[in-house]
Amino acid sequence: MADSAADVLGRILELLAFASRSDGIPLDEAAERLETDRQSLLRDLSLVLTREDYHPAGWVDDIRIEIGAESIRAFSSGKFVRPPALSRREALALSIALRAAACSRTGHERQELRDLASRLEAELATVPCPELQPQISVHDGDDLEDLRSLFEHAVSERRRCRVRYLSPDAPEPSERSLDPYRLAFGDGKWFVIGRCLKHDEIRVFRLDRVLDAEQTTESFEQPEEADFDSFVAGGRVFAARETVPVTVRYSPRVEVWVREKGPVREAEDGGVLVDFEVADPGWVVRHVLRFGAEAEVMEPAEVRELVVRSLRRQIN
Amino acid sequence: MNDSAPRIQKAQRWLDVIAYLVGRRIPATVDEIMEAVPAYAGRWGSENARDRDTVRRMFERDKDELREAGIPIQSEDYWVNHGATRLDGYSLRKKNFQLPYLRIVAEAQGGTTPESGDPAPRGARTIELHARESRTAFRALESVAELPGFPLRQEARSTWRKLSFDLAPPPDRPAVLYADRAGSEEVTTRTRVLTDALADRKLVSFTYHGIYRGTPTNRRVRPYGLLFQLGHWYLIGHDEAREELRVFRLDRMEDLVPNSSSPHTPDFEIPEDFTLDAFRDRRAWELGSSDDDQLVARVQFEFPRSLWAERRGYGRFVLHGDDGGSVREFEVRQVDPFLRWILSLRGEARIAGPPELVKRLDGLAREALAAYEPEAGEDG
Repeated sequence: MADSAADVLGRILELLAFASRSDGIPLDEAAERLETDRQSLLRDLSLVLTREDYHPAGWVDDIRIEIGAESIRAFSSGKFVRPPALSRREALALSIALRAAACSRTGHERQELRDLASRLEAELATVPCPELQPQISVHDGDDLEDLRSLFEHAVSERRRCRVRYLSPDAPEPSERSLDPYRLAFGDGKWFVIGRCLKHDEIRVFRLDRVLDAEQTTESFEQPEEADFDSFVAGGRVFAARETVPVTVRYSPRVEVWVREKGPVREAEDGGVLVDFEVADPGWVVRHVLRFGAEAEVMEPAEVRELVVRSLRRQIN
Repeated sequence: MNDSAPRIQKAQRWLDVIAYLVGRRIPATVDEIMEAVPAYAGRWGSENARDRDTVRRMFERDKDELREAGIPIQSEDYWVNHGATRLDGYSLRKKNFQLPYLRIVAEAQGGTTPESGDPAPRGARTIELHARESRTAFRALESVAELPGFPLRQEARSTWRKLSFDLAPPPDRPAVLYADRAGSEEVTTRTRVLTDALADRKLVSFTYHGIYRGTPTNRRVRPYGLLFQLGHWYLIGHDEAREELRVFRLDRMEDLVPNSSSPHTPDFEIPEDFTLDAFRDRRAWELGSSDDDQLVARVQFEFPRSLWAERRGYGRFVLHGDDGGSVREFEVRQVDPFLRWILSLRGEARIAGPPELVKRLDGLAREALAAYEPEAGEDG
């Protein structure tokens, strides 16, 4: 999508502020800061510079720019030495972000963050954004902030963790040692991807199944060749190590919104068929059961049998 | 207008307006702005009334769009000639236009002590923050900017950059992998439309595919709030046809259109007693409408599923069983999603009461089983 005039103006005003510092700003640093490339940056600058072409005699241009081989400096009589204050949308983004962070805290900390949100949205914005802040709320987790912080730190510091983990279908929780490599978020749930020392392989752990966790003093080396992106696909987080192909049929009643989620094949009865590659058959059983009678595992037979067994347990 | 004149792009015209207005000691009248800004001056100086009207309206649009983009151009009346003449004009105060100075101060007992940041010029607005507040703000912005479907992702990034003008961002945090669903771009577009509709209090219309409701229905809704939880975006709003609050999942909407008539006039007001907090942390079965009967379901969780239910805080704890299992109570407004959730727990959770719910779950399981074993679906 082409940049709007507001996007271009926003970038120019930010650029002028950075370039107004006493030493100016290196071109590459400016491009990085503005999350753009050198070419786009120079195109933006040309819009400022070519204003001279149409300004009438006598117009005192308040902006002068020096472009060196590698850096830019700007002079503007103090007008453009700082970035603009936050727009309504920017203040709103900050407010929602802080209030979302507050929701994952409790008690005094929660109130402190809400107060900070109120203070910053009032002081940093150019215009008040009345009443809107509480009308958008973000809750990107499941009250597992403590675990997320612990694993975030452990990933950064490469610290081995000890966890008590409840695997699906396991008769009881098990103690594991885990080298956490990445945090991941998908389908409304948080996961940690890391090496399970017990099985000596990279596995995916759902945070809501971690009953206890602590960091140890041991550190670990992260494998350089690991492709963590392969753990997220189709809106899910899973270990794509050994997968089972599973085909599910959805009835015409629910096909319309199954269709929106990814590729489907047409079924004869007006429903749709979806082919999954599944690392944990338990996942697809839970998924299908959520649809009641509107979804059915077509193959393989072993997974059909798992569904049947689960359903029989619910029949009196 | 002279054809040989270079085409002045909109961003250039806006920059000229800002450069002209910012830092002026007194506001500028419309006439002064028209004469000073080159993109207006040519046509403003012509004898043609239509040209003058066109360019005057262009300034009005520019002013509105600049304000929307965060440039606080203010309308002011002011006196000149030693108070003899009153004029209407526009101003752009530097202290409003520029980001205030941000400075980190150390937390100290009995007050704060400066820790870092250049001293602001005299008279400049300064905001003092503790280091942990600054860190929290950066982290919070990073989190929402990464969130799938977040409508203000771009604005969260630009705010992060603006804060970093004075404050040092915390070290890069470990990368989080986000599993975007198919269709998340469409959801982002819908969240942006709804954010604007919320801000402007405009009605929206859309087609809604409610699961298990059969055919799609057309809805006309007053948006009261947007909520992201459990990986989905929800709109909470007043459904005009049903005359009550309803909850809609954004990925089940189609053809979302805001009311475009009277763009500067709100279509409704959000009731004072509405609070989005009432909808947070609710599961699908708790999001019923006001006329749905509420019932209390007792669920028996087997060990170790009971540990998981406790960890997640599902329902209300009632009692422990001898085998490590537990019984928990749930308030249920929508029975179908609740039963399907229990069904998905693969028999590790069973409904213990009330009896009508036990019967319905049994019926649902039999219905589903019928697809696999046709004879099993029959009662008895």
